[in-house]
Amino acid sequence: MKKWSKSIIAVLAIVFVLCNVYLLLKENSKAERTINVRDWTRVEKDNVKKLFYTKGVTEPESETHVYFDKRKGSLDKILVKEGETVTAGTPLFVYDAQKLEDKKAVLEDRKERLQSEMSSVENEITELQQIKQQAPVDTAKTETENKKVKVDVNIDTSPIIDSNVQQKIAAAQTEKSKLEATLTENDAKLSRIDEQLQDLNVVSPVDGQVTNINPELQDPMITIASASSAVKGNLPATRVHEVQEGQAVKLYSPLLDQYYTGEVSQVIAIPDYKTAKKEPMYSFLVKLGNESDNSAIEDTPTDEPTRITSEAEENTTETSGNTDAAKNPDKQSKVNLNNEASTVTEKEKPLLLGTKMDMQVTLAEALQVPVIASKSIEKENKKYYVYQMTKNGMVRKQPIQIGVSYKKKNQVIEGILTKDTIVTNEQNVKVSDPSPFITPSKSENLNKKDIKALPSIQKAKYILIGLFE
Amino acid sequence: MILRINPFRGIFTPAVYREMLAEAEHYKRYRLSIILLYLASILIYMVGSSLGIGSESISKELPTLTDSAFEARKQLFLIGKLLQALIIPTIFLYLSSLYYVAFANGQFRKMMIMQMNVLGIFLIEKILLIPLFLGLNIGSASNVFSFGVIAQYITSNVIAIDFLSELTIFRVAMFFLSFFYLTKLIEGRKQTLFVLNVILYVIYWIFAGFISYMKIEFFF
Repeated sequence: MKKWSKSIIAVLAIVFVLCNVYLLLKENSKAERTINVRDWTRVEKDNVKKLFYTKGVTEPESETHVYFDKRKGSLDKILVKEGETVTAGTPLFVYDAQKLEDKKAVLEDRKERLQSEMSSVENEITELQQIKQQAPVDTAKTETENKKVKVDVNIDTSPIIDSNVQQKIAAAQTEKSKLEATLTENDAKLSRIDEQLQDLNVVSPVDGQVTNINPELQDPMITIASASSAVKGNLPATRVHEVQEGQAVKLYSPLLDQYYTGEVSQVIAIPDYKTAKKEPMYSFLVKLGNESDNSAIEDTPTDEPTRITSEAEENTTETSGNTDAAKNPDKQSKVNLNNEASTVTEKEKPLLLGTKMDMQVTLAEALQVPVIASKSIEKENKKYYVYQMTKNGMVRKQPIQIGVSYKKKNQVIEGILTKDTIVTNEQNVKVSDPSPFITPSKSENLNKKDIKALPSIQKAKYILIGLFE
Repeated sequence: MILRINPFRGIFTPAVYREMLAEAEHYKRYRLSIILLYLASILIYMVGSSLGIGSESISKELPTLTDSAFEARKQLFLIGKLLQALIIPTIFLYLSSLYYVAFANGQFRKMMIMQMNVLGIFLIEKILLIPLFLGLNIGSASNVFSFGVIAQYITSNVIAIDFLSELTIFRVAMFFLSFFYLTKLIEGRKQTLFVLNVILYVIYWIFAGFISYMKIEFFF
């Protein structure tokens, strides 16, 4: 009988407790919950940067093509080699100048002839003028020195002769001005031919490096890669709409162990089918900023193969700062690459075309904004919530609006302010109604000065709370 | 006859222990048991309180204070809890024994040993409540051993909820266990002893309920 009653009591007690648990845990329970908040955090101002990592390769920022103009004549000779570095104004090739040179010779001969004719006409004029002066036109002026001559002339001269000389002078002067006009015309022709001769030298319009010369004179005849290099980055389809012009990019060359900065200058939303095996791959161009060494390309050896077809070749190019390595066969230079990459530690090494880059694109950034870790955010029906600890000693579910988020950091646009206290929701606290909460003591936070700083009445208050509640 | 004091046996085999206690003239481990019970009380209260149990009223200061300033207040709260951990056993052991000696002609030592069992049950409840409170995210108002949960369904009266939440099956067990011992240890009418015991437990209950209802910060 006693055992029976014991069992009944035990069963009743268990049933009672289970009833309580049911009433407590069932939905819309009226029983008050006290949330055990094990960890909490204060919303702080921080920077959120949405980053995107990809790989890229340096390539010329732009390519300039130089065309061959058949109307200017045939090609005389090409003055540059593939791989040669040129500046704006460097002659690239010359048209054949023979025709013009012949013309020039003719004109020059003519010029000489004209000039000799000119001088003979001029002589004639001076002679005639001397005859005219011998006539007694102005006796007063010549009386001192030429008294004797005066007498002779006075004898010979007649008004008929005088007018004859005058006519001759006029004729000679007409001749002279004709010759002068012809000479000017000839000079103009000469200078035009000179100009044309100058024009036969085709010069580079830009600074850069000759990457291609077409020996069959097909267009474009010469391709010049600009000295300033850009980096072409791989862009998977999922990111195409996120990368935009002007976004900041950080770059790192593992080979040179050097960092660069730049910004996105162009997004190329045309898939690159060459590399696209599974998914289309797009690309974007990054213009390097100040850190990029534009002059560096000038240091590259001229015999460097600029058309990179495979990665192996690319690597060879990169190490060819040492010319021995460049001249060595492929296999050997690969070995050299491994050695050099680890041993060479010079700074400010030239940035070669084809250098592989690790890229970090800042897709979006929010600076000095309230930031919440993803673990503290609860997502429900596409809305975001945090559990905020209010000044009433309650935990409440607070809807928030999220801005930039990356790597578990989320910018809060609305709902929570800086310095608000929220539950670090790893423990999966779930409350629908605002509920009181308790927190464990964290002695690592304790600073004895804080206790001493409290007035005695406050100390008594907290001790009494501990004692009676 | 010598009794080796063991509150666990007193709780789980009360019939045997009651006979032994009634016949005993000397007691082994009397002081040790008292000390151990005090230490157990301190340990249980400190563990529970440092995990936050009972700290609802200071939680509202958390958002406005720095973590270290808040922790300073928490430490003072723990000092209060430590005092509570010393006062509770004193009430159950000494004050209750004095009550029985004064009003029911009990022997002080026997009453003390009986009350060790009662205190034992109280502390076992405290131990069980620590994981339950933290795991179920509840406070003393929704204590699953108490009538508090049911009370919240029946009424929204705060005083009623606070008092019913202090009425737990362990407290009921404490009442019946002490009554079970008293009938053997004290000669007298069962009804008188029952009423005496009821009075004591009602005093406990009112005290506990009042403390539960009372908010210290009203005085500051």
